[in-house]
This record gives sequence, C-alpha cells and structure tokens, in this order.
Amino acid sequence: MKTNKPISVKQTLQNNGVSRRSFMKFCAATASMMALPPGAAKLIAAALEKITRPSVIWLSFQECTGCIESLTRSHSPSIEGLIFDVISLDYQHTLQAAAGESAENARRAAMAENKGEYLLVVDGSIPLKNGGVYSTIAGMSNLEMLKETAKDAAALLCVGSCSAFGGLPNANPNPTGAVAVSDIIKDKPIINVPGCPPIPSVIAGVIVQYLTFGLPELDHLNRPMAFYGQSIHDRCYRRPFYERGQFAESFDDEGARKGWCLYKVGCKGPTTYNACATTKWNNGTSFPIEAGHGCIGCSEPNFWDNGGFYNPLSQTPITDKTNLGVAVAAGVATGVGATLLAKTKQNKTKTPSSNDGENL
Amino acid sequence: MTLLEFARGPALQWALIIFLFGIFFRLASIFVFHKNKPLSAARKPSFFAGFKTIFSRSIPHAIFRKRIGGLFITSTAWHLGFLFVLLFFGPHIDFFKGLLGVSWAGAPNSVVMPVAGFTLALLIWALIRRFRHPVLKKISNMDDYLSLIITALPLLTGLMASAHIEMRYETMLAIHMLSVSLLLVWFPFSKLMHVLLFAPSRKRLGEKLARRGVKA
Repeated sequence: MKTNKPISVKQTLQNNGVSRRSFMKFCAATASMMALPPGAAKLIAAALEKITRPSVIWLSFQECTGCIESLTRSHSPSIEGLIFDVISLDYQHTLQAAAGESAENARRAAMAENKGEYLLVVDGSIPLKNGGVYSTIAGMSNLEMLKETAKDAAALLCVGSCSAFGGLPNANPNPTGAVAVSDIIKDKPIINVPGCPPIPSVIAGVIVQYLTFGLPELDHLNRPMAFYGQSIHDRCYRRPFYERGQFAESFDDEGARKGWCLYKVGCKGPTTYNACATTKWNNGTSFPIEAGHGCIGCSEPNFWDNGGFYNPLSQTPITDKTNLGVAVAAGVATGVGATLLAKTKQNKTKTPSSNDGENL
Repeated sequence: MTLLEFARGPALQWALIIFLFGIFFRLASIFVFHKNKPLSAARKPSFFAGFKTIFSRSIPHAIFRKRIGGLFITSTAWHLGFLFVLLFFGPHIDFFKGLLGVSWAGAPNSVVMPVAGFTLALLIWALIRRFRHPVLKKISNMDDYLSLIITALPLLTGLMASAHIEMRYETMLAIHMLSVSLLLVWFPFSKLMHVLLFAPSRKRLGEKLARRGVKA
C-alpha cells in the first residue's frame, strides 16, 4: 500500500532481498526484448534505481483474470515478478489484501496522493448495455469507475485484448455491449498491450519502457512497436516452409509431423503482431506454433470473429452462397429476357426485303 | 471493420455476385440471340469443322508464323503463367477450397513466384507495346488498356503480399483481394470475356465457314 515517504526502487529492491545480479538480469532481458543494444541495460537499471516507485492502479473489468495470472503465475520465481518491486501497486482486486470499502478507499487515496502521476492499468472490457449493469464494483459501473480513475492518470495501459480492443466479451453478438478503453477515454495517452493473455515479459517490459523512456513509440493500434512491430510470421521458425510452399494440410498429416508451415490449417501469424515467436512463453520454452497449433491472432482486434481459427487467411469468410446462385439465375433471366425483347423488336422492324439468312 | 475484413467479406461477395450475374447475362444473351436457323443447304458438314477451328486458330497461320511467332509465344506464355499462378499457388487453392469445396495439389513457391514475376513482366511489356506500337495504338481503346492493367494488378499485389514488400501483410493481402474483386467486376463487361467466348465464337465461325465450303 501507499506510504507517505517515497521509497526509491533501489531501496525497495534491497529491502526485498533482490540481488543486484537479478535486477541487472531483469534490465538486460527488458533491453533485449526492446531490441536495444546491450549497453541499454545499464541505462534502464540507472533510470529505475533513481525513480521512486510509481503508483499504479490496476482496474479489472469484464475479464477472466487471465492477464494478471499470466503476469504473476507464468513461472516461479519469475524475472517478471520483479516488476512488483519496481512499481507501487496500490489497487488490484486479485492481489490486494483489502476488500470492500477499504479497497476503494485505497484507490481513492492513491489517486489523490499521486494526482496526474499514477499509471492506470486496465484489463477487461467495459460493458455499456443497460447502463453497464453486467459488471459493477462497489456499486459503481465499470464505465463510472474508469472515467473517475482515468481523469487524473498520467497514462493508461490496457493489458489484454479485452481492454485494448473489446476482446472476447465484444465478440458477436456482444450481449453486454462491451467496448475497449479507447472507445471511452479520448484525452489521455493509451498504450495497448493486447493478447489473450499478453506475454508476461511483454507486460513487464512495456511498464519498464514507460518508466524508463516515457511513452513508447506506438503503432496504429497504440501497441508498442518494440514488442508488436513485427508479425509472428516474420519471426516464425516455420517461415522457410512457407517460402518453399510446404504446408501441413491437417493436424495429423506428414507435413504436420515434419513441422511444416501451418498457414493452411488456419495460422493467423502473417496478420498478427506480437512477440510470441521471439520472447516465447513459459520461461522461453515455446509458443503455440512450436506446440503444433496455428496462431489464433489473439493480439489483433476482433480475433474471435475473424473468419474461424482453422480457416486459412486466403479463404473468404463467405459461407452463405445462396446469393451467388441468385446472381446466376438473375443473370440468365435478364440475359434471356433482354434478348427476347430485342429479337421481338427486331422482327417487328424487319421488311420483306431483309435478308433472312444468317450473317457472318 | 478492417480493410482486410472488408476485402475478404462484402467486397469479394459483391464482386462475385456482379461477376456471376454479368457472365451469365452475357452468355445467355449471346446464345439466345444467335439461335438463327440457317436457311441454305450446307456445302460441307459443319459440326466437327467448328470444333477443329477452336484448335486450328490457336496457332498462327503458316504465312504469319515468322512475323508474329514471337508475339504469339509471349502472349501464350503470360496466359498460361496467369492460369498457373491462379490455380497452383497454395493460398489460392485454399481460396477455391473455401468457395467451391474442392482442392488439388499445389506447386512450390520456388516455382510459382518466378512464374508470377515472369508473367507480370510480360504483361507490363504487352502494355508498353500497346502504348508504343503505332498500329496497335490506333486500334486500341480504353477497354484494351484497362483490361491489361486490371489483369496485371492482382499479380503485382499478390507478389508484393507474398514477398512482404512495402506494406504490412494484412494491408497488402487486402489490396490484393480488392484488386481481384476489381478484376471480377471488370471481367464480364470487358474484352476479358474472351476467356469464355473464344471457344464458342471460333466454333461458330468454323461452322459457318465450313457450311460455305471454306477451310478454316
């Protein structure tokens, strides 16, 4: 919880028994993820040591807790866990001990003490239908809480595809009217860290990037370029098979056993921007494609409704072909009708001297 | 809705509707309109002569062979190249599988890509030639130029998408699909209809000439 006397990150790490070696490893890993030169690790370390632990308020709305689970339970002990020593997490449902009014008081106290300086992390989408009754916290709708908390935040970090793009709750037919944070908050810097869930080291890396260098360079979907600048396909170890046109046709054929490209079984790697192929999951063990399943594109908007996980990208999502049949019938009918009409007109204008024979 | 969603969904759907409507409209009107019964007696049996003409006119006549042989080879090459890329590139086979429910074996990218590049180069050459050749220029209209450009666009954008040149893959794929949609819409109402009409028109011509005792 928030203390009145600001404590530097260096002091906190020392208090928690984090060795200098572990801290430098964390900084080096973060620098490496951001594709910075090795020397940048020292810069990151120096910057983090100087700052006092910044206040972070983490709001969880219409979500499954997968994002915070991803960050806290990926593996243990985790280098990403160090992030909790770098920041002062003043409000987080899953992790905080306080409950009820005391929890809400902690949020309001952190907001008041760090007005204009705290980082607001959001996971989960915001339901708007029927006054937002589908998700409320302490009697407040998610919409009210987001607006209240975002008002004095320095920036917003949307963790997970739900808060970044609406995610699964936003999928058709979207019964709760779920929207993304960026659909509501328009006057604050927003950094999206999408994924279902996002890679834990990417969440930590983006926070460190923000604390060290300020707002990172973002793409057109507000995702940090350092982590979302390249597609899964660009960095996929199966890319050479794509180039050679060697594809698995099903999940149990020879191509699949030989580790060929999964494009034809629906891999969305070419249109998905994330760091899975380089950072990987579970302490760098592997990522979905390495485990034999195509990328489902979870860090992209509308990934749930985007044409089916097992349909190749080149396949059209057109499933109802009735109108194509109607087009054929209409074409034939119009063609025959128009021609018969023209013929009738032609016969009417024919004179007895006209050549009735065929023309070349 | 993203550009790719639009290109793969409504744009392609409407393009296919216009394509099918246009093709069947034109085919129906042509076949119904030309159903005049000849009144004169045939000098020679014409049915098989018509079929023969379909093939005999596919190669240049001996007199012109030396003069237009090169042009014939290049034109045939890009037609075959286009067909090969359309039918044997892996993602295209997936597209047809999704639409028609049938699939077939594809060719490796190391073959498809050079063929696509070569076909595109020949199409660009054909376009430049049409612009520069004094006689060809006089007999060309907008349909000729646009048909060449619209045919070349899917090849150009497809190559760029596959090779990940310039734009992000999803943007390039969307542009590629939009260029295909443009081709589908343009096809029935332009000279590109020759793809479907060349055989029946040659057959009919062969039949008519045979009835009059002319070798075709």
